[in-house]
Amino acid sequence: MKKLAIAILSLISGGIICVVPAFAQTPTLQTSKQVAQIARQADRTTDLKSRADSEIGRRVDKLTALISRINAMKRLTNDQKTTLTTQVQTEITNLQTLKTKIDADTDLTMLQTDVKSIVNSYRVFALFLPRIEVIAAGDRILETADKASTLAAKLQTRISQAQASGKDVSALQTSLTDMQSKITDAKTQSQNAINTVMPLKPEDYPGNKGVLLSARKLLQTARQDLVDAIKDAKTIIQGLKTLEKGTTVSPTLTPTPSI
Amino acid sequence: MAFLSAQPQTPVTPAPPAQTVASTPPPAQTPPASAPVSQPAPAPKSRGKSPLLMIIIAVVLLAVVGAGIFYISSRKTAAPTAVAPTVTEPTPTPTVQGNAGGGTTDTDLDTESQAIDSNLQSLDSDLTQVDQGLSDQQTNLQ
Repeated sequence: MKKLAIAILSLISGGIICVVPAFAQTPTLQTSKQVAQIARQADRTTDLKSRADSEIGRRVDKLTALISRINAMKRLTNDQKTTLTTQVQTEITNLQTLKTKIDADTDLTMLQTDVKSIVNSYRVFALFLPRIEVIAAGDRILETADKASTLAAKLQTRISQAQASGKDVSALQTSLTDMQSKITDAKTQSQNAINTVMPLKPEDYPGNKGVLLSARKLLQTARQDLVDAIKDAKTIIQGLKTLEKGTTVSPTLTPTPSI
Repeated sequence: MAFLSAQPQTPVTPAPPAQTVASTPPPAQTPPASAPVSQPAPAPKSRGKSPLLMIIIAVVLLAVVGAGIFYISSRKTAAPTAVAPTVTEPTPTPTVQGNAGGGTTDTDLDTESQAIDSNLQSLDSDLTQVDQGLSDQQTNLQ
């Protein structure tokens, strides 16, 4: 009897020793799968955050540069500058707020939603960037055209002086007329470019991208006008120098034939 | 009025006149009583008081004169300072402007055309930035 009890007890204890590790193995397998899944999510989160931060940083840098461009414009009114600066600054603030939220996100689903909002807000950036660059280029054309007008006025004075002294200035006068018409056209084209892009809104992007492209063409035409105008100016300056040489050289040459 | 009517009602009123007579009019009464004693007594009192009185008067006079001098001198100094700003005001006005506008010599014309050339180069850079803005692509965030 006693032997039987010992045998039964040893069997039970043996069974326990064999079975317990088998049960113990199942939870460890489940934990390692979860750990792997958590690790994958963590990697995905880190990767998304890194790319989101990079894109936000890129946009903020370019938008900040745009504010400097706006402030450097000379032909825009203070109100126009303030309007543009406020629009850009608002976008910068929105992006910085979004970056703070993304950096604090712990839930992957929430993070993905926030990252998607960067994509959705791209239209604001995609419009602001070329729009303000078009305005800045138009502003520079207007400024350059003003300088060219001043030069044209001085050339007119010199041509009139040469004409008064009996020189033939008809070719120079024709070049000057062409120069003045090119300057006028450059001003018109650049002002039109500014006027067409100024009222564009981000919510209409990319539908209004065609307006940006046509404004770009206007600027190109204006640039070519100015290139032609300055070419005319150089021709006139050279012509005036030649006329002057004709006057100054003649007295020194006079003694030579007498010899 | 109440104060004046209160005086005759009080029975002690004769006594105060007696006291006042003792302090100031006594010299008038004392001559008949004892002339040698009363005469030397008021003399030292007047001699002791008069220098003190003189000093006080002198001090008061000095104070008045000093205050007067100080007042006059302060008026004299205040008057020029009030005038000074009006005199100094015209000094900043002389601002003469230099020559206006550039010349029309060959050098001036060359300089101006070079400046326009430089502006055109900057304009090329501006147009490149317009193109970059139009062709911007955002980072893949999927």
